[in-house]
Amino acid sequence: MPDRVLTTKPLTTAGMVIGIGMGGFVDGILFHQILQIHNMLSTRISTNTLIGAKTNMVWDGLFHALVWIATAAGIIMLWKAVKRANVLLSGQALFGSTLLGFGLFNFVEGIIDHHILSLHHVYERIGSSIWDYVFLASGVALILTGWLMIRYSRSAPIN
Amino acid sequence: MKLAERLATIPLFITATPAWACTLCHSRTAEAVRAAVLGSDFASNCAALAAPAPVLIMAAYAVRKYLL
Repeated sequence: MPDRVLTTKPLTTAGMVIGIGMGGFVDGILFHQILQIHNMLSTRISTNTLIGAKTNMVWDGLFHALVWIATAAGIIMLWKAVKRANVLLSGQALFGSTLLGFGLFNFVEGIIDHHILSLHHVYERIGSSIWDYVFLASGVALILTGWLMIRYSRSAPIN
Repeated sequence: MKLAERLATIPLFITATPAWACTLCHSRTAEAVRAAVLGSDFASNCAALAAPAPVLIMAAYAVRKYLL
């Protein structure tokens, strides 16, 4: 029987999409709900009033619906990947790609929502601040870490 | 206080709050929230909310093609 050429691409693509969705959940759950340092449209609609807070809550819900769809899509892709015979099921590659997706979310969402559209800022109370750039930097760090983990998993010997 | 009197106060806790503003409720606060959500800027807010999605899809595609 000839040796199959193993690939991590379907697995890491699924992991990346799951990471995008879960990165959105980290933002929404941690920053919007638990810490409440910003909400989805908190620059446009102030959260200082009950109406403003509840209006932002609706938009936070719609944001969560979008990242739920991304997570669900990633899970479907993961299911398809693990059923393929030529996919190397590397936990390190999967975790690395999830980190990469998490970083992609932080970077893209940070650029568009914080800097271009100014829908909200990381620490809304002080507006545009160093924290918006820390958020972007966290995205770059997560992308690099995830990418290195995927590369290392490919070069590691297969048992 | 008799049990019946205690139980009689329960509906007050449920109905008397001004924050009774579930998205589809018929209260003044709920109507104000709906008006704020579905106002003239509804379409632009929807577009802004969804704006990162196509960029993320393109970025994910590029990463898959060139990095993974």
